Amino acid sequence: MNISLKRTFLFLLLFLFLSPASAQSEHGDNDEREPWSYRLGEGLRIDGTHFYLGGYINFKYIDAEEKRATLALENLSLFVFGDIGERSRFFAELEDEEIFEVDSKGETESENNVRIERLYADYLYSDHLKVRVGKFFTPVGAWNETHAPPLTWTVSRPIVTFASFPEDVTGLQLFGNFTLLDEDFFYTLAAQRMESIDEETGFRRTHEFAGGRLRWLGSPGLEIGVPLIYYEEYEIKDKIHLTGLDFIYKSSPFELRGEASYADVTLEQGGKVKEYGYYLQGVSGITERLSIVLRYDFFHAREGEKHHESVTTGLVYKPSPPVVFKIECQERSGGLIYTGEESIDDGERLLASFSVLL
Amino acid sequence: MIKRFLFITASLLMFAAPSAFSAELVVISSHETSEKISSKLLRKIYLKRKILWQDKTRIVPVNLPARSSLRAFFTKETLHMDHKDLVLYWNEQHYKGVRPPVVVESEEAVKAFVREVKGALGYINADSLEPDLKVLYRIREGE
Repeated sequence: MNISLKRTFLFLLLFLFLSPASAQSEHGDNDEREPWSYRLGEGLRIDGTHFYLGGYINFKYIDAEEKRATLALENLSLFVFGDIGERSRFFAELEDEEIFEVDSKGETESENNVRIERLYADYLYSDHLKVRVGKFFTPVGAWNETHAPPLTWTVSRPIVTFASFPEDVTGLQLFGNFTLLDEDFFYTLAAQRMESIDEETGFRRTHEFAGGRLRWLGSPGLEIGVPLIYYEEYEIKDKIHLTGLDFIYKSSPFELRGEASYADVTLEQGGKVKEYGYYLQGVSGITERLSIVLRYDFFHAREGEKHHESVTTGLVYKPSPPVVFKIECQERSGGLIYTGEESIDDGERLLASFSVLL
Repeated sequence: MIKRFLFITASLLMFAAPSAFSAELVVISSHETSEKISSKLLRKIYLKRKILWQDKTRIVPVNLPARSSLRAFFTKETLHMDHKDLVLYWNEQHYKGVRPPVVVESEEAVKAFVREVKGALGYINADSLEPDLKVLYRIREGE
């Protein structure tokens, strides 16, 4: 994408953001009668179809010790979804990452990293059994399946939510709800035994995956999940068995969430190593639009068997639910960990972002 | 004197108190179902966690506008979420490709929608009920 196209797209986004339709919207509503209706955070209805366009945009600022501060257009995502008949539906998402960056010395960098983030079709056999075919997010923890910046409380992402497993799976997924002893559960089972649709997404990659997650939907505001997966890492051929525990507890204006995982890694060259970690994050609303966030991360990496720790303190301002400003300070220790898109290093850093769910 | 003062004070407090939702709310549908409808099931339907009737017909829940007091009452009794949490929930669902329930402007529009759309379900004030509409569930204030 060249610079003029990017500018045009940004102006379009700004227009949508400032348009009267978005200003008058009742968030969380769906007015099917309006042709080409648009609501910020709820997408654009394509007139005459059952399809919708959505997406998000994210700008990110990082100021780390002994490095130049950078401001980047970090993510631009566009997704289309909708019903195909009464019992099936479709979803596709394209995402461009690290599109444009300028540092404190004024040096710029521009890249084209457009990727197919998700591409799948669902068949709704019943509420107990739905079938998904294509590329979708791996069902481990809550963060991975809702990791878009406008939906998270921090600019940074806990390592345990992406460094131990492939973030996406290409293959077959079965999922649905069931009730047992008057308690509601949601299950997801997924399998892959093929190349991925677009290999370039995520840090860990696989062609062989099997596993799932069971989620207990407790009283309103409480959910607990347990994942159990196996995968063979692409090219490296290490075999990984991973399990964990995740939870979300919401009681307005508070939210507490955490995820833990434990992986047993059988190395291709022989021998075994462990990889494990967790995060615990608390959010408290100070006002209707301003929240404070505190998070502790711990991660023991399989490579080099290093312990990583970080404490993140941040503020989140949401002038409207889909429009999110974040600023946070992070103190990290434990040495360098390579995680693909970004190496995790020691020291203090300041992060900020502005993101909009379109 | 004291008794009169207490009586007047109590009377004023009664009038000053916010008016409670006095009418009964009914959940209506034109869909034939043998499923036992409960507040918990309505929560699943209105959060789109349950999307099919037992006979595999798609459930089409319909809402009144956010400003409606009837909707506020229904939301409080079934979803147990405040408006802010509900908006965040639908933002997450949008990212997953799930749409919130359809919104229509009035109770008359709810009745028309339920009559016309296969699998539709909505809620109205019990006083507005008409004989051809099937009542699936009733919610009374304080129950």
